[in-house]
Amino acid sequence: MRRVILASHGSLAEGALDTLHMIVGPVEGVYAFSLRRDDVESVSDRVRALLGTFSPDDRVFVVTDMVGSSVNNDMVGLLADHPEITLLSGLNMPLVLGLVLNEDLGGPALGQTIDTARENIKNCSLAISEAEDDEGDDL
Amino acid sequence: MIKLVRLDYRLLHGQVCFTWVQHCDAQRIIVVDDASASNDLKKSALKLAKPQGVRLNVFTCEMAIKKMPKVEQLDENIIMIFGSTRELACFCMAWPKVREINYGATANKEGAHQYGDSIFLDANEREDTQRLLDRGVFVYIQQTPMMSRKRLVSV
Repeated sequence: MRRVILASHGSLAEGALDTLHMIVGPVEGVYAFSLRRDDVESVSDRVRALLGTFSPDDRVFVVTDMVGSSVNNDMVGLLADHPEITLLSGLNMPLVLGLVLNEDLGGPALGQTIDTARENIKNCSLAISEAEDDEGDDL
Repeated sequence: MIKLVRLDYRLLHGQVCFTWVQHCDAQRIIVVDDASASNDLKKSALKLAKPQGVRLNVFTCEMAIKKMPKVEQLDENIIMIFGSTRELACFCMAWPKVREINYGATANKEGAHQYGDSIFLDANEREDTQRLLDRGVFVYIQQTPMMSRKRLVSV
């Protein structure tokens, strides 16, 4: 099955999981991990323990909040032992929703999911002012 | 083909754009909401909210009824979203082919009775709903395709 592991500094990952439940409803195979200042066990150790419970055929996505962050750096360290992981950074809701809901994430489909998530960062003030009566939707 | 007729006062939002559009493989969304159809800013906000590659129309109830013969000719999967029970009942009385309605969400308000996690109906909304039920329309409460579905038998 598909597994999606969200990891962040503080509560972003848990918040994203909460938002996911609100938008979609119950979902299986999605997990959230937070880095805290007082952590005794590192995020990557906690994720590693979870990975150990997965089946070898599982497709695993790990999504961190930012590239270059300590959470992401930690996760990069998992890749050598866990080639089944696809590691993505830049956690936002369209990315999480795409990873959870899109049936096909093979080959170019994963790239499209990432593109869609990236395009979702938008200057809405500008887009609203430019919106026209448009694009062949007319009936 | 109309795949889904939904009541949702939030119109286009995450549950619709990310779950129902995919579930129905929708190519067009028709929003029937008098307040949005007559307000350019609201219309622009809906355009901004719609998923890429999905066509959008925003109609008053009256416009929607007039457009239906054309809508029926479209070779597309279509989702219709109604902002209120008033528009929904007005439409269904004029267009009796609607046999199934998804109650997604209505706002909570003074004097409303709760029928599901996100369905609150005041006296007017109950009356509109009763008219639909009296016509034998199958009304079910369901927020997203992954959430449970509950039939609304009486109000």
